[in-house]
Amino acid sequence: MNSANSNTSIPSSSGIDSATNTAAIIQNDPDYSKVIFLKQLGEQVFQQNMKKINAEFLTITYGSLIKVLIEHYKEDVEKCNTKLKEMGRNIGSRLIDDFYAKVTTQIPRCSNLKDLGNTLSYVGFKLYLNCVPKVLFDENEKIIKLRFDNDINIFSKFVELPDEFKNKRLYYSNIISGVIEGALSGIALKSDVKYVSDTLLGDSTTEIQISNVKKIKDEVPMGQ
Amino acid sequence: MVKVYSFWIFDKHCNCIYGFEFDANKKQINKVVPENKHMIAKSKILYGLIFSLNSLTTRYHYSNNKEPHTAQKEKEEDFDLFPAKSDFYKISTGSYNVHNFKTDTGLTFALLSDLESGESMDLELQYIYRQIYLNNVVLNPLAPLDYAETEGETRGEGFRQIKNDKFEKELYNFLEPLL
Repeated sequence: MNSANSNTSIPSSSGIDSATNTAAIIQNDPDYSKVIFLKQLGEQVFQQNMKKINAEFLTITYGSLIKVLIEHYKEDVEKCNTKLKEMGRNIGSRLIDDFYAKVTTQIPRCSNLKDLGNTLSYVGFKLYLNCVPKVLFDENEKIIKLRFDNDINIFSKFVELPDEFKNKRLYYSNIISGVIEGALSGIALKSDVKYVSDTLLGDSTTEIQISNVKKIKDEVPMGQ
Repeated sequence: MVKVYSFWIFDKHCNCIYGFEFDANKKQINKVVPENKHMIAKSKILYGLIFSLNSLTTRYHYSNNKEPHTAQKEKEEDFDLFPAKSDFYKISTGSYNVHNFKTDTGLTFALLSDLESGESMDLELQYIYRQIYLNNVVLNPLAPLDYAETEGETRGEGFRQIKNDKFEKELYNFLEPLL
């Protein structure tokens, strides 16, 4: 059943690729079996190890959180975006330990940024949000973009932003970018994660961009 | 039956965030607390051993793999970003074994046991990490995320330890048959 699922999603990905006009291109993966493996792993762990809660409950709780934040910062959207990201970072740095505990030792070691993006999408997002964003890379494979199609982002399910927040560019689900940044910092990778576009703001797509991935050096005890 | 002498957790800032030692003569448990200078010194010596062995094994692995990568520069950058893991699992001395488990997030779990345990105790250490540590420390929202609060407490200079009764209770329940 798993393989059937992953097979059906392949034609749709190439179809959307031709329809978009971004500079990034979907890679035709040479190590395709790796992706299939990650997809199956995500599906399997999601079925077996994860506790599930009602998605609408989460959506509405998140909505009320945003409302409180906006009131707290007196409609200062910049501060809301940074605060959301900071909250996400705190969640992410705890979640990465949970992630490794849930997938145990089955997960293959990443050897390049492409693997990192695929693992994030097919395993990470699948486990915690039950959605699989599309992974795009630029030509040098240094920048990863995650694209959420067709409102699969459950945070923004019932949401429509008023015009004043659209103009000030409130990234409604900015917490996700923080979670990614926090999780990567947990495995000693420093990165810049940010929203580049959001359908809630009138853009055609919802995209998160991961760039500038650097290794944080391991700390050395005093006197070494 | 394996006998456990002591158990230690180190975080990514090289600090000992938890540790205890079972004293067989006095039948008591010595914990790592800032007042207990003897235990602090012991933890530093043990971390020094683990750290230098880990850097040795990792470096050897690295130099072993370097030749095929030099041809392609990009590959080497990737290799710097995602270095291969090559930690040691167990070392034996004349009177005890040191079992080591390093997580991908930089934590080090170490366990000193007697020589009876021929096998690696990797599974036990993983259970402590995946069940006991995760549920009681990582997913506990009131426990601090990082035990080094300022810059001065990194690089092995920190003094904060895990203070969590539930964590200790579960840990003792798990390790008590082995003490």
